[in-house]
Amino acid sequence: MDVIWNFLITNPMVNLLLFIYSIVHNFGLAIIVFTILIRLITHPLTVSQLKGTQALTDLQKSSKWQDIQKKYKDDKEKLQQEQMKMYQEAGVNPAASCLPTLIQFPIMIGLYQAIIRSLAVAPAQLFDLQLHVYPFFRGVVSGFIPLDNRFLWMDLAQPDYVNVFGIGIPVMAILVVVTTYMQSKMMTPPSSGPNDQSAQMAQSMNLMMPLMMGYFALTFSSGLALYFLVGNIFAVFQYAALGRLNWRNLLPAALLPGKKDALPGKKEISQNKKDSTTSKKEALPGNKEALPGNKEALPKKKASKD
Amino acid sequence: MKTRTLFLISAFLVLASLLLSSCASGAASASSASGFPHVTVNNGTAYLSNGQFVRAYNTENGTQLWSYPDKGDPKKEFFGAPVLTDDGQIIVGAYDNRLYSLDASGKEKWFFQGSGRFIAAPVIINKVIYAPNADGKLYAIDSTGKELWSFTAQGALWSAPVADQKQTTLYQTSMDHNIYAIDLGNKRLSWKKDLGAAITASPAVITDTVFVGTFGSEIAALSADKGEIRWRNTVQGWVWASPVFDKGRLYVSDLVNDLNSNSSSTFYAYDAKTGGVIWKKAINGGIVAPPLVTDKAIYIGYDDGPGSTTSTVYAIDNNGTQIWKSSESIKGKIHSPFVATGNLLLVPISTGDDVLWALNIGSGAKVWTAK
Repeated sequence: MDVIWNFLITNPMVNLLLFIYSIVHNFGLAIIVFTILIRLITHPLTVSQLKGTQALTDLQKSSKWQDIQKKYKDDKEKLQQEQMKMYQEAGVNPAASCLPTLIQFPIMIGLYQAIIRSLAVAPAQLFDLQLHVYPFFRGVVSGFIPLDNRFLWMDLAQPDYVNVFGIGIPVMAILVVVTTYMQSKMMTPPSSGPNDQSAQMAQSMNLMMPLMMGYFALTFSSGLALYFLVGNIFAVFQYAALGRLNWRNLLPAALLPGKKDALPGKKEISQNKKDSTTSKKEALPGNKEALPGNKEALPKKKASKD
Repeated sequence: MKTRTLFLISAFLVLASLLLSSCASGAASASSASGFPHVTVNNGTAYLSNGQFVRAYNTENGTQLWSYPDKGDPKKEFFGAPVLTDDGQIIVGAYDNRLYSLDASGKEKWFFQGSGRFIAAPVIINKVIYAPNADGKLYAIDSTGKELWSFTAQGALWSAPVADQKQTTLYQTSMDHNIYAIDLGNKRLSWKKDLGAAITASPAVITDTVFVGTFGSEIAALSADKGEIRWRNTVQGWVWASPVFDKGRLYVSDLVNDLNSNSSSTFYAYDAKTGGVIWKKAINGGIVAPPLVTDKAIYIGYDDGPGSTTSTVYAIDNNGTQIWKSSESIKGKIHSPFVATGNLLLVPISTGDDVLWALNIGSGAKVWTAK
């Protein structure tokens, strides 16, 4: 298993990182370039995910979908069955939006291993690194190892902390949490309704993902945090270029354009209130109408008495 | 359904965290670096630095005498060989950027704080401790832990410095591709030479020549006084082990790995004056430890071939002919220098259950092992 993993993931990544380093002579820049390259390579996957997500959104906006939401709103199980049936008929996979994320995991793990191996801050690590360098590349690599692990304020081999008045601030972890959250929110398609399960899943992921990525950035080397940060920023540009970026998701509802329309409630609610009051009057038009029978009833009573 | 979705997502994220953590620990982690153990012997006691502990063993039977510290700390690892001072202190460097002094019973006396890891062993000359550091500095420290002066190289120092016979010049190799000659009298650089690739091993020094092996797959001989190249030979793989000079010959090995982690080496015997190859021996295993050369034999150790988790120690004569091999395969890897004491050959072991093996130096029979 190790051999396969090394062959497919670790060795290509280590060598690509070292190759980029041999050109830019800076490991932070090498990670940035590497990240952008990986994003470009997985771009077709991203496009496929977007198409899947769009198809899902269109389906959920259809009248047929809305109908079954209303029809089975009290029967969750039946609703779920009907929804799955509609997914199948339309050829839509609700889990498709997760696929790029899942694909990212072996890349993330491989990149972490590549970063730690490449930095090689002690003899045994350097010994391990040479086991992963392609033989034709060893001569070149021998000329620039060990790598310079400094980038900006960071030691890329260590978790990042910036000392502010004696307190270590995990700057990269914070940036990773913020950018992961922003990216997730901007890429989330609008919900089709209160029973939209994919929207519920997306909402949960939008909370859990930033926390998880922040934990990784806090715990592991700042080189990995740099990869996350650059990946998030690039993904935003990627989605924007594809016209799929939903900036509105970032804003609170009160700040959305068309406030009056967006909040039909106040005026309309009060209007509705007036309307309902009016209709109440109509429903009970001066008691006489509401109880039209009063006068009529009474005569009957008299009649019955007689 | 919402609860179930949340549960599934949470379970997935926990699994992902565990997966990343386990895969990360599988790779060498920089925050808890690893190295090769080293042993020093003095008056019937062997001092072994290995991982989170420095331990003392009775060389007669391998009984552990003491262990420092009481509790291990992953950030405080010891891999450089302990060195003894005239007044009985045991000086050992650690990966927590400190150089420690221990007394004969293993109690900490003082420590010196550096800026980087102390990876290699210090050397003691005229009661001054010269300690190389991964921050690029060679610190000169007195016997109480006070810094006297320091020399700054351009890159990390991973090897122990070596003095000339008169102990007036210290030769220090560096990961910055240079070998430095430092005058201990005026505390200044005499010369330096860029050899084009990182150097992780100590040089071999004789009266007028310094021998160095590099990761550029080269062995070089330089004049001791000016650093001029006398000869330069190319080998097949990276040179991890320090070259050893004995009776006009230079013994050195290289290391070649394939992508399946299989190692092979070539062991060379050079004419030290000319660099001409007297003989060479292809080895189906990886040699990382320098040879130990005595009047009786040359001792080398390496793993037992592709995919092997065991190693063997060999005694060969100065023509490369095998005299004996260790009676048992040693579980683990041999990455560190051997030490001869009396009729024993002490072999530190990396990644093995037993961290120190004692072999009969005349036959290779196992005498004892220590955990």
